[in-house]
Amino acid sequence: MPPAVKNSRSPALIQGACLVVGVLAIFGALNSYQVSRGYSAQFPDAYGAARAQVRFAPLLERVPSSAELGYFTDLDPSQPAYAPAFLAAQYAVAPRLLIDLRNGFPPELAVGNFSKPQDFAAAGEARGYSLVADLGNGVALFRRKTP
Amino acid sequence: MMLWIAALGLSLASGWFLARALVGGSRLVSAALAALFGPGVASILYFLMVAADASSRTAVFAMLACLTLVSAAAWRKFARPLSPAAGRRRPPWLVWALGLCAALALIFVTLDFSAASEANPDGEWDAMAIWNARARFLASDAGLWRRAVSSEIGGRMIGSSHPGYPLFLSAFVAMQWKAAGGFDPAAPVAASGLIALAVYLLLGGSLAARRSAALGLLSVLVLAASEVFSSQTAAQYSDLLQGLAFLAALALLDLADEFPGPRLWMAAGLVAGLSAWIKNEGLPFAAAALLIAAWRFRKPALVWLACGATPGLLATAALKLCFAQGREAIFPATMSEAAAKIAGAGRWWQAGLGFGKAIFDAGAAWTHPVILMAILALALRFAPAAERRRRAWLWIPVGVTAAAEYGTYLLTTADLDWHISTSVSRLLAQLWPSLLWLFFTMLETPEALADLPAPARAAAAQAKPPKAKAKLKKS
Repeated sequence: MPPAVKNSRSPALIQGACLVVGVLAIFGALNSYQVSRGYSAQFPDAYGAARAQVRFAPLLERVPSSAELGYFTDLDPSQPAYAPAFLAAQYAVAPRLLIDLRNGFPPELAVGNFSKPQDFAAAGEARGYSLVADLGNGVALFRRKTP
Repeated sequence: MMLWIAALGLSLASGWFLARALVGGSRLVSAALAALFGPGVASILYFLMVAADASSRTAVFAMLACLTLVSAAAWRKFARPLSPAAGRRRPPWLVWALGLCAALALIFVTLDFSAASEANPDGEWDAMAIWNARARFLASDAGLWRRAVSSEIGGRMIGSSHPGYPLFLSAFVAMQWKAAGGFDPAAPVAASGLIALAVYLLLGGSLAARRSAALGLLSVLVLAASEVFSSQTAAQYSDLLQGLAFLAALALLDLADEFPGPRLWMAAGLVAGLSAWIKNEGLPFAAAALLIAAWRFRKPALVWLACGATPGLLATAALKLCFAQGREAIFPATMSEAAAKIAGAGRWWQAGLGFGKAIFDAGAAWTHPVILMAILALALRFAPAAERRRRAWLWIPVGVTAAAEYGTYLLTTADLDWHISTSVSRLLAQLWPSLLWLFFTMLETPEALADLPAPARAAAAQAKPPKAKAKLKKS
């Protein structure tokens, strides 16, 4: 046994302090759990990844995994919902690559990700694409009109 | 489903053998290091396979089988106990009581992890946008992995487009998905849980082995009360993995200081290299840890440190220099832009305030980890100055990393408020286990103060370091 350190404090006090920390830590962990449970109940699928995988599932059967897909949406890029919608869509369709149509040459195929019902064909026309299929849940597949 | 579990199991087995071969000693510490060594080396080898367009389910299992066999062979050849053998002694009642508290706290941590994973099985924002998204590309066929390092990833958005981010976690998850032949969300959930568990094991296990069982358990309890850490366990981000690597590097450098030898130098180098392969924050840490280790251990250690660090550093350099397209958008493009940002005094204050707020938010009111640490500091007091000075050099890599993280806020081209609010708690979560470890190594042990018997192994290691050191030097 190593020699005990010279100590002016009561061993009972030291052991009591350790136990107090132990008990408080249990309550701390309990509190974290309660916060997490409350947040999870309030915001299931908080970032939309699971929802996007359901919405984009019909697209995966129609488009090869190597495809590069143009991406457009009715959400304005300045809206907070724009980024999570794009990222969830990219996650759901990977390894297909989504290319924001504002960022470069438009690919042969494009996907529309819409937040509300509207005339999808007209939305595609405005960007030089014709509607191939309305896949439901606000997802539509388009093909570029000019080669 | 079973196939990704088999891949995970094989990578952990290889890590276990590697940890036993290089480090030995405490089995808890080896189990924790297994979650870093095995997945780390496997992710590098998987990245090599992917870059050579040679990835397939068969290739993954062949690679993992070879890695496990080589690690097992190294363990058979080199493993030997580091600390003098000593009989086990019955732990004092305080250790039992703290063990019970730790078990209860860890039950709540597990429930926390479970609730968060159930609500968001694909992880939180960055998991979906960066880590798991890149894993999906890396697990795909026919050169599509290059999309993981393409400038198009993340829609070129400043917070999501990081083609040069290191690939440890993404490649590790991708390897399991490749083995399974699909994107089972359980794979990243399991990886996340394992990494969090490894941090708890390493923090508690290394302190128990080096100082005392009671200190080890107290450190686990304080970490369990740290919401800043618990809230990240199910996020499926690389931050806790980075925290595991930082902690492992400190624990191994400390061990190598006590028991110098090629195996521990190599293990410390391996962890430093792997920390660069996890996140960009690992780069300044790896540089500082390797430099300080080279200074501390001098010439004989250099080759072994370099050998250990080579896989992680080479993989990171290859990724950043040869494969990643585009540049990190959050850094200024010119020196003058950088200088203008650094000159803004408000940014210094804002970044400091961000870190301060993250520490304030690290826990709840009376169970805040800083309060728990203050209680322990008052009750146990700090070890004598000579003992504290012996480990002072271990603060340097942590300090350098914190300074680099602070510097990133000064330089960022993103909106500073947004950048701080979305990342500062994760940066703290990376450093938190290391800060706790450093704090607990400075305290007196409850066993010594309360005149309780210390666990035999720790007592023997503490009582006889010079002899142990001499023995190892001879051999």
